[in-house]
Amino acid sequence: MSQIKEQDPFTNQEWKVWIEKLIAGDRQAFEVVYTNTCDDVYRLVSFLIPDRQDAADIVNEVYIRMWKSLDTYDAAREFRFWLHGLTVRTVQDWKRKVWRRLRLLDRKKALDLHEPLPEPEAQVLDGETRQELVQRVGDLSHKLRVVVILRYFQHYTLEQIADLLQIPLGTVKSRHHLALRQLRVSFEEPTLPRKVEGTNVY
Amino acid sequence: MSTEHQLQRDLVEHASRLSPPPELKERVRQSYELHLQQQSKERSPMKKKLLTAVAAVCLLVPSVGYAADSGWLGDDIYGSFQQAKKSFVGMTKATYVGFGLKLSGAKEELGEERYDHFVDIRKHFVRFMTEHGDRYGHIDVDKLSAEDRATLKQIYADMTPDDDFLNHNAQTKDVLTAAEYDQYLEAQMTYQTVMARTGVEYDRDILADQLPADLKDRFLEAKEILDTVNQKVHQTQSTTSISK
Repeated sequence: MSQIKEQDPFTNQEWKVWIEKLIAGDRQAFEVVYTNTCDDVYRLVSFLIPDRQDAADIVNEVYIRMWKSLDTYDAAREFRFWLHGLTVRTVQDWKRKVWRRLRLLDRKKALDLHEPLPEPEAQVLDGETRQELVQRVGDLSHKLRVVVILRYFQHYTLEQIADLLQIPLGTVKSRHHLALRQLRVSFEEPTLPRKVEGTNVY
Repeated sequence: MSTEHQLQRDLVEHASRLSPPPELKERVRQSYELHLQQQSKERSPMKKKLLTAVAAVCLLVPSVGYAADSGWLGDDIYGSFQQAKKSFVGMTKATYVGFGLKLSGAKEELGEERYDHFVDIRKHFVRFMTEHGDRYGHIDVDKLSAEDRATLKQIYADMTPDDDFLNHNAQTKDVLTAAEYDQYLEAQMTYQTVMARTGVEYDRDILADQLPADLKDRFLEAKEILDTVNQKVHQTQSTTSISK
């Protein structure tokens, strides 16, 4: 697979400098770090959690956790890798929380009234085959979807994904294989019913 | 073109249309400012209890655009903002109002009568955590008397149906066998115990490899059960929505 990895704007050493400033309370460092990470974090979260409002809430939570965990960041490792790990864990924790998906009905209604822009998930439903494929990724179970997004959107190797998710490589391979099989069935033979994996995906 | 290549191309193309809402930056900035304030306050030896489950929800609520009509529903559970502030770390007026927003959503979905019952259970939970929990509200269940342990288990059992309903999930009790459901409740209590023993604020801070052997095994087993149940509930929900 060709690797079209998104360019990291900074080297690890440069990130280290900005992070040290951020820890020290430098507001300019906040601007730099947010500006250079927000698209990446938002997109990763949005692929894992399609609801737009929930995604924004989770991104906010990712940054809250970032402030608290900056001390633990090891500059010897790639910053984006660390950030992606933090993001995926935040999404997983969010899904697990009691009350995790309470709907703010009033707020959602207000958004519906004041933001008539097409939602990304609505755009997916425009009937184009390629959008159907993205939608089908969204139909995968969360565990399978995470692997697919990290592999085909963030372009991590399966070994890196195992490291990032802190699960065995064999589990990642199994989930990757199962995800592709489900996507191929639905993508190449869209008239067949979609398969849903059993509870044991290991 | 192979599925893999198509996938790669389509995800990139789709991602190009995904941009964070502009107002998000201000929310994140405020969270950074709050963090800096809390850092300076942490030097104070004052200890307060934190109800993690509630605080985590509060943090997910935007700090702008509070609905004026959401009122002070937090009072339903905490009594008053002043009371909550006295008891829980990091409870600001903004987080309290945010919590009220969450409750307003719950109230609308549950209806008046069921909401009253929902509030009663939460109040019971808050009282229990305040009485038995550590400074973060986590409870070492192993140290509870048999009676208190049974009470906590019942609270979890009582909260689950409303949580499932509000999360738009299938009812956990319907998805699991009686034995599995009991295991699920026990797993939640084990999780509490591990968090209380390790003294962490968030479960993400638990490093399984660094736990004592007995605690590590219990923690991993509980985590596996919770993950599996979440997956099962989610799958049942997906199947239901597809079949609609």
